Amino acid sequence: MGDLIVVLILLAIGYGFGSYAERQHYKSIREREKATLHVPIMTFGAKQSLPPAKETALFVGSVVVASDYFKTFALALRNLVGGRVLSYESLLDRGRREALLRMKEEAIAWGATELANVRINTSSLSQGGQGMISIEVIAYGTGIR
Amino acid sequence: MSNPQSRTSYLSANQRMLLTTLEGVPGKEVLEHYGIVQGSTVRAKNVGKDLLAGLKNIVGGELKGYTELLQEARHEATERMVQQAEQLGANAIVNVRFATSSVAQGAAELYVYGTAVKVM
Amino acid sequence: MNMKYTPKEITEEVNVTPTHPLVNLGYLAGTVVVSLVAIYAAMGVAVDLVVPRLSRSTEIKIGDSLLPVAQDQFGGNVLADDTRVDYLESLAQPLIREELSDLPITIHLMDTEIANAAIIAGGHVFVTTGLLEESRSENELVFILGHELGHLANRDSLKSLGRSLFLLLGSLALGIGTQNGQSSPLLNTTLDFQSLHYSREQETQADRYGMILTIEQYGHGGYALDFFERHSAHEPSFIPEYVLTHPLSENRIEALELFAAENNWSLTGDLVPLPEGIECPNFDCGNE
Repeated sequence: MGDLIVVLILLAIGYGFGSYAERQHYKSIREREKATLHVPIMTFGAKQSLPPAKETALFVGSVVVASDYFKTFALALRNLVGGRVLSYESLLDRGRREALLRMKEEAIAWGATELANVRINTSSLSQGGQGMISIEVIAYGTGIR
Repeated sequence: MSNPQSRTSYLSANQRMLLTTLEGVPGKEVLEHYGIVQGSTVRAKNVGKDLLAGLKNIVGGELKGYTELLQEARHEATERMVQQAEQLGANAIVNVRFATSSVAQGAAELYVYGTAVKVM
Repeated sequence: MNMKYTPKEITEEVNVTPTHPLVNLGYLAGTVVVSLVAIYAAMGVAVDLVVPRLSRSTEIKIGDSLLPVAQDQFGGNVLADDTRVDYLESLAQPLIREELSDLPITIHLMDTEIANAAIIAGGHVFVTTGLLEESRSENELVFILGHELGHLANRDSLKSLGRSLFLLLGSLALGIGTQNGQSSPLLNTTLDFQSLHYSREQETQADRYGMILTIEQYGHGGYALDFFERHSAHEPSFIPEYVLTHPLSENRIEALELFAAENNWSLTGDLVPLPEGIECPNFDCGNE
């Protein structure tokens, strides 16, 4: 019974803080995406004729995101039932967009007018799936000015 | 979330060596290429950071400590790749790719590779 | 690059399912709980199907593998060499009817104050010294032993093992149930004897069985229900375990009196006294 109460409290904390942080993060992501929309990022570049430019540089953006207790709990249940893990969709989505934005913002600060041949990688840092669940997302590409 | 660029920016590496994910350097001509260059490093997270991350796993969100740790490690891998290219007498690395893989519980390999070239 | 870039915003989230997280969790928890309940119920049905089909030798094997666990959980030392065990066995022997004749009945006297008696599969009867101290007549001991034999005849112990029974059968088949008479930690953690309950129906059946045996033994049911009568006076301020896991003593007395009346059995008769010193080890209470 005591264990159940602890789990419920952790669930409430995880849900409360987690969903608040998620809302704030999405708000920030949307604002920053809007602000950086004028600089195109593209996944092509390698096989296109190279854009005329004076300078290029490599830019990397990365972020490690952790699941909250609520999401982890939902995943554990989902593992029994199978199917789409809804709680992790938003986690990974946020991670990717955050990594892209970090790369883009750094490139814009340098003066980039576009980012070519952008690649995105996702990797799980928690092997075996036990304990903490943390995911690293990295986005990198060539800034051109 | 803030943008932690300072220490881990790739611009310093870019000053010594042109790095790009493209197959060539825009506005320049590739004279010759020297084959693949690579840099890698394996990093483990420490217990202190793990404890903090354990708490963070209740409320979720970004693990800033890990983000920075991996950024530094990736930067080190890039530096190693640049050193290799310098040995070869290259002045640019094209088609750069990154990879991260979890090699053991709590340890990750950061790997970067590309093709060393001379451009003008 | 000769392509034109037109900045356009993606306004709709397509990578995130719009289901509310709490709705999702509710659905998941509901599905899991419903499945577990279904599995639990299915195993309950399976127990009722399997138990009557178990062979005597399997029952004895199960009993032997449970014995150390049951003794541990009963509490107190086993008084194996006590002469009171022989006395109890001599009491029990005439009570064994034909349907139990192929089972070896073993009495285990447990040294603990709580007045209690129990039986597990394979004919292992547990009697506590507390029960012997409390008993006033042989009649009531015979009734209690008869009651426990009733449980044995109906395989109630196997049924109440319920879902653990499958685990037990599996471990027996794999030979990991017991090692050198030591109870394995696996069984210890999965079988909690204190939490095993018989249903009211099973208790009533066992009571009637005990009553029939008592009548066969003495020709009357006098003094047989003394144990209940003492405890009905105490309930619920003092509830020994024996009574706790059973229906209220008062109701049981009523039901048994009715049962006796239906069969024209007399509930009065002579008291058969207990041997001297039943409350002391080896009937030896010293000189005091």
